[in-house]
Amino acid sequence: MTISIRSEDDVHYARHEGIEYANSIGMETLDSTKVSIIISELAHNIIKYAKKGFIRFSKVTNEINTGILIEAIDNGPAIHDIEKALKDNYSTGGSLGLGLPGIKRISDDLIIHSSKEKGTHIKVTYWKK
Amino acid sequence: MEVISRNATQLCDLYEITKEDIEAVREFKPVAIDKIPEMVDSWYKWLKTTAEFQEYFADPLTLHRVQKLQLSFWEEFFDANINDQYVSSRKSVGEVHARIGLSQEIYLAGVDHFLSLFIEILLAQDWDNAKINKVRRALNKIAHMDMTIIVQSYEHVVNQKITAQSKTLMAMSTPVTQLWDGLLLLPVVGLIDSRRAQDIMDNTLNHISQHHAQSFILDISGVAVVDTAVANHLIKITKATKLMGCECIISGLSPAVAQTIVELGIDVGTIRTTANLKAAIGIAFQKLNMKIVKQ
Ligand SMILES: Nc1ncnc2c1ncn2[C@@H]1O[C@H](COP(=O)(O)OP(=O)(O)OP(=O)(O)O)[C@@H](O)[C@H]1O
Ligand SMILES: [Mg+2]
Repeated sequence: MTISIRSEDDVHYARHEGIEYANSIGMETLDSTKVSIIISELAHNIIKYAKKGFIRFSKVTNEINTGILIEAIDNGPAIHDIEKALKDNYSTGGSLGLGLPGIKRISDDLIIHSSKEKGTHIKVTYWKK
Repeated sequence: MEVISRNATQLCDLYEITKEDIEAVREFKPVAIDKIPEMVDSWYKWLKTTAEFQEYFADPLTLHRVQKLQLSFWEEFFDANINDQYVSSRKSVGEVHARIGLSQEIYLAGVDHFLSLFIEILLAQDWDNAKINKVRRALNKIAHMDMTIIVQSYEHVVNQKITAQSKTLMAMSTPVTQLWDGLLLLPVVGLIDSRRAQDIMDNTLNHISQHHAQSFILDISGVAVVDTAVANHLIKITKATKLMGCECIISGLSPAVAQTIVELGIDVGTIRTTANLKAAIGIAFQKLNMKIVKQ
């Protein structure tokens, strides 16, 4: 499922769909709360730094578990320094600077591709606990 | 939400509606137009079998008015003067449907009904195949253009409705109340976005100043998600209340919220938090040197 992100209302909508999706693959409250936080952080970053983009989620499975792959895709100005962006309290937007490092702690896998030419593509995997 | 709005020329380009198409449709008009009242009748015969009929068309006056509108809709269609006025007349159809809540299903079923009857009439003409095909293509293109305009304007109104509803909810959603002299309570249910956070901030500070409050309880048990944005808003609100000499207690942190706050790495610092409202009230009364006793 892919959701266009252009406003704060879209962030709420994406989060709502994310929670439904998480529930549909058997996740419970704590898991779906975490999924919704991940979506929220990624989508807020899109609005704040790239103005618009997309959030996408899909199911991932391995031999023993089910999870959700959450992607954030935008064509914005890209993340200058990915290493710094993953440090606590680093923000170029005057806020807490805990979004990306928080996602790193909450999720099981976080991959960031970001370049001026291609924009930003972030992939986050969260396995059912 | 942004809506891409095309003018008449752009729409014709999009559907590749050419002068020949327009001529073809106009040529078909004298053949089709006399049959339209009949088609309208048969359409409403079908519509009578639906639940929508009772809701929207049961009143004979309304029915008569709507049927007349339908006649002129198809007349415009066959005149095929596709200009901005044509487009806005189509737009208003979608808007009306959306405002009254008539489903797209019914509208699309209607288009299908008329279009298949037109094709029936067309096939009964003793015209050569090339001509029949030409008219058929033309009817399809213009009907599709109509549908697009109508569906888009429908959607536009629905989006406006949703925005309006959320604004209403938002306006009602910061009921700061005085629990006791010097003690204010604000239960927040639902979403905290930047608009609402600003509402909460304004409302709270006003009440603190009006009531000379010393304690303020912000109960967030109805808030499912505390992400960095919400945390940032909460921190700002507690800082501002503190500057006004009022202590802020945030109550109602659910286990899931508490855990995610920790994992996000949010430093709640000196903010007082409690698991439930009862504990928060206890702390606030203590601060006011008061005690709730059983009689
Ligand atoms: N989609 C993006 N495009 C460009 N830059 C980004 C994007 N997402 C994050 N960044 C950069 O990475 C930094 C860190 O992001 P992070 O979400 O951790 O913090 P923040 O958004 O600044 O604050 P918080 O999320 O705590 O409110 C941002 O300040 C910004 O410079
Ligand atoms: Mg962020």
